[in-house]
Amino acid sequence: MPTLQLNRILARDIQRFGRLSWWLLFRCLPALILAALSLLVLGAAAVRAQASLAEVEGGQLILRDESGQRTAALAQRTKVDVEVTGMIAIVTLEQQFRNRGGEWMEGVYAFPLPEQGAVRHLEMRVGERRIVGEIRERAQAQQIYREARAAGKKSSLVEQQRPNLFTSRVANIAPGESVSVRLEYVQQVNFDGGRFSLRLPTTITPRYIPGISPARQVEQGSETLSVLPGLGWAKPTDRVVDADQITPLLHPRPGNDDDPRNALELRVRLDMGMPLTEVHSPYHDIALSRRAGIYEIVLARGVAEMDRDFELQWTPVSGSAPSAAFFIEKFAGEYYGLLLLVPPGPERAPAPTPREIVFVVDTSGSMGGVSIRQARQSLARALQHLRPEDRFNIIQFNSSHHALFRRAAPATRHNLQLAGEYVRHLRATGGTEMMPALQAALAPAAAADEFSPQPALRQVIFITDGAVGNEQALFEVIVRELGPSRLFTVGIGSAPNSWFMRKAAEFGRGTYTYISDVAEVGATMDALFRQLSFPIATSLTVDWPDGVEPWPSRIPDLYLGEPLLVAVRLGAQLPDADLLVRGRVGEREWATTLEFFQGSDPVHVDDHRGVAAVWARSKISALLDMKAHGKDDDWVRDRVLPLALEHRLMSPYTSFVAVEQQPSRPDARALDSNPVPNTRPRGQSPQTFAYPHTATTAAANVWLGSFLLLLALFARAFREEEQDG
Amino acid sequence: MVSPLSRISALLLLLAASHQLGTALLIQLKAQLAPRLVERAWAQSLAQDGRPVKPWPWADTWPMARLEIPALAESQLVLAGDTGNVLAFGPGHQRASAMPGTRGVAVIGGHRDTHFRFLRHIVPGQRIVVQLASGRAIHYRVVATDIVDASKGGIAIDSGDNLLLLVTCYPFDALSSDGPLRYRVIATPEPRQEAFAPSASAGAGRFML
Repeated sequence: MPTLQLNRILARDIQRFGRLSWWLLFRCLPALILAALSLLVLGAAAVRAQASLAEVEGGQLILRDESGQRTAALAQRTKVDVEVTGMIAIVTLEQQFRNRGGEWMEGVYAFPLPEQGAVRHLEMRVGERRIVGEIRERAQAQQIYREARAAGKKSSLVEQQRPNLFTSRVANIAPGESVSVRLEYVQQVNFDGGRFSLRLPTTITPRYIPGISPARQVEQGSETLSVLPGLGWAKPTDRVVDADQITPLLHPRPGNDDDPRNALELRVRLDMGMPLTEVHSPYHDIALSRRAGIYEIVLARGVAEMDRDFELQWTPVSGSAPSAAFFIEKFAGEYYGLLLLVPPGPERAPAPTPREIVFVVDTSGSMGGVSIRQARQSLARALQHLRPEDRFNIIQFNSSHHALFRRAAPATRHNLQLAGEYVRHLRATGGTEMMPALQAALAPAAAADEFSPQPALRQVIFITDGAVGNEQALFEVIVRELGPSRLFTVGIGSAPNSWFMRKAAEFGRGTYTYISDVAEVGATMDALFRQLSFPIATSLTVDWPDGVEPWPSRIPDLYLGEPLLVAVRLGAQLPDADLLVRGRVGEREWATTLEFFQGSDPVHVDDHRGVAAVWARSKISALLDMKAHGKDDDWVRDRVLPLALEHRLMSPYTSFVAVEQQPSRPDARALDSNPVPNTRPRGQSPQTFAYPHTATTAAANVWLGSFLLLLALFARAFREEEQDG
Repeated sequence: MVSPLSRISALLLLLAASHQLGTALLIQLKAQLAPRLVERAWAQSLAQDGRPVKPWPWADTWPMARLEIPALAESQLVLAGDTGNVLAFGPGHQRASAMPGTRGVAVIGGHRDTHFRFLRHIVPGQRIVVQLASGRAIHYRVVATDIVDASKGGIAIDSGDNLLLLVTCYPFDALSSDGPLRYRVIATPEPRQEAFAPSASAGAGRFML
C-alpha cells in the first residue's frame, strides 16, 4: 500500500533526521509554497496588463478626422522674396489664404518673423485688386477691422504679439476664394566670424504658458467680444495675459516637403558687391544661380514645408570681407546711417583665468524629439572643453529644476564622468518653469566662501528652445540678478524662439548661438567656447558729432567674431567730421578713425534702402528693453507710439489694417472664424501632458495585509501544535 | 514552551497586516467621506456665482464642476488639479488641459478603485453632463473608450480637438498601483450646442451678423 509505505518512509525519516526533517516538512515547505503562490498571483496581474496592451494597440481610436477637416478648411501658403544688399535684407512675405469650405470665413494665422524685422508695409490682394494697409494705433486698428468684418467687407489686420510673433487676420473670404496678405519688412543681416547669415522662421514651437488662468475667464460671455480672440490652445493666465494669441494650433500630423501643409516658396537675391566663396543653407536644399555678381537662390524643389527655420549663410572670398562700412539712407528729409565695424583680433589670447561655468538645460516637453538629443550632444561636447582648473555645474529644468552638484564642482575626471552620465540620462518631459532655474543659475553667492572664492569669470550657458510665453518677466529676472555672471544662450530645435535667445543674451551680456541640426553640434559648441574665453573688445565708444542719435546708445562688449553695429540718425545734413572709435581690444587700448563722410570711401553707398527702418526698429527695441529695467508700460508706450507711427512700423502699439471699400459678404450669410494651424516643428514630438496617476495602493494594501494575516494565523496554528506536542 | 522569537515575529506580522489593512481602509474612508465636504463647498460655490470655495480650510483644491452620467446614475464633483493629494478626495481636472466648454481637450482623472470605478460600465452613446460652477451645463456624448499606454506618450494638448477625456488606471482590478495603462472614456460635445467656443464665447463660433 503506498500510504503505508509513505508512512514508513516518514517514520524512517523522522528517525534518521530527527526533528530537522519534520521541521522542514511541516514548517518550511508550507511557507515556501504560500510565498510562491502569492508571487504567482502578483505576477499574474502584471502579465494580464501586458496582454491587454497587446490587444488595444491595433484598435486605437482616431478622432482627428472630424476636427482635421475643420481646421484644414482654410489653407495657407507663404511666398517669400528676399533682397539682400550689403547689411540689409528687404523681405516681401505674401500669405495666401484659400477658403476650401462652403462658408464665408475669417482666417486667424499666428506666424513668426525674424525678431529684428521692421514691418513697414501691408497690402491685401483679392484677385486683381490691391488694397494698401494703413498703420494705426493698435486699438484703433482693431476697431476698424471689427467694423469692416461686421459690414461684410474684406479686411485684413496684422498685429505684433511678440517681436518675433505676429497674428494675421483676414475677414470675409468667400467660399472657394483666395485672399493674399503681403507684408514687407526690413532686417539686418547677421555678420559673425566673417560669415553673413539670414534666418527666416516659419513655424512656432508651442510655448509653455506658466501661471494659472482664472476659472471665471471662461464665462465672461459678451464682454470678451470686444477683444479679438486669438483662437490659440492656451487660455490667458495671470502671468501670460495674451496666451491665446501666442499659442497657435498645430496640424495634428507632421508635414513633409512633398505635400506641404503650409507651403513655403522662397527666392533670395544676394547683391553683396563682393565675390562669395560659399552660399549654404543648412536645413533646406537650394538651387543657386549667379548673374553679374548677383546670386539668386530658390528652393531646389520649389516648395518646402514650413516646419523649420530657413537659414542662409554666405562667406565672402577671404580678404574681401568688410572691416568697416557705413550705409546711408535719406528718409523724410533726414539722413540715417548704419555703421559696421569689425574690431581687430587681439595679438595674443590673454592667459586663461579660472572660471565657473553653469550649464542650464531645458528638459521640458517641448524639447522632446530631436531637440533633447541636440541638447545632450551639446552638453557632452561642452564638457570636453572644460579645463581642470574650471568649476562647473549642470542644472536641468522642466516643471521643477534639479542641479547635478549642490554647488559648482571642480572639473575633475570623476566629476566629468558623473556629469557625462547625468547628461546621457536627460529626458524631455513636463512644463517649462524657466524662472526658478534661471534664478538658481544666476545666484552666485552660494558658491563663494573662503574655501572656494568667486572665480574671475562666471558664465551661464543656457540651452533651450525658448518655448515660453513669459519672456518679459524672464528678462527682468536676468537684468535684476545677473550680477557678475554672463549669460550665453544656445537655441535648440527646428524653430527656437529667436527673440528670447537674442534678448536673453543681450541682457545677460553674452552671445547667442543656434543649433538646429545634430551635425552642427560639434562646430557650433567649439565656436561658442572660443567666444567664451573672453570678450574681445570692451568699453567701445564712437565719437558721434552733435545732434546725432545712435542706437544702441551703449555699445555692448563684443565677443570673438562679433562686429560692432550701430544705427544712427544723422539729421538733415550729413556731418563732415571723421568718426573716432575707441575701446579696449584684448589688454590694450585701441582706436581707429573712419573717414566715411569724405566721399572717398569705397563702401559708401548712397541711399541704401531700409537703413531708416533699421534705425527706428533699433530705437523701438531699445525703448522696449527699458521695461526690463523697470520703466512702466505707459512710459514706453509714450515714446514708442509716435516713433512707430512716424516711421510707419509695426510695434506692440501699432498695427496694420487694410479694408476694402465694397462689402462682399451678403448680410444673410454667417461668418465662420477659423484658425490656420502651423506645422509642427520638424523632429519635435507632439506636445503632451502626462496622464494622471489614477490608482491607489488600496488593492495592494488589502492583498498584502490579508497575506500577512494568513501568515500570522499559520504561525499561531503551529505554535499550538508545538504546545500540544 | 513558546520561544520569544516566534512570539515577536507573530506580533510583527499582525502589526504589519493591520498597517496594510488600515492604509487601505483610510484610502477608502477618505474617498467616501471627502465628497460630503466637497458637496457643501460646491453648493456655496454655486451660490456665490462660481467663486472657488475650498471644502476645508487647508485644502489645496476646490470643486470646479459636477460630472453626471445619467445612464449610470452617477454624479460626482470634479476637483481642480490631478495630483495625488487631490485625487484621493475625488476626480480631478488636469489644470493644464482645457476647461470643459472651451476649445481643446479637457482631462478629468480619477482613481480606478474609488471614484472612477464606474468608468468600466460606460459604453459609447451614453451622455455625460458637466456642470460648471457658473451654472452652465455642457453636454457630451461618449464616442469611444480605449486603453492607452501612458509611458508611450501623454495627451496631445494642441491637436485642436474638442474632447472630454475621463481617465483612470487599467486594468481595473490590478494589484500594482503604478502600471502604465490608462483606460480612457472619450466624449465629444453634443453638436446641438451652439456655444462651443474658444476661451470665450466669440472666436471659433459663428458671428451671426
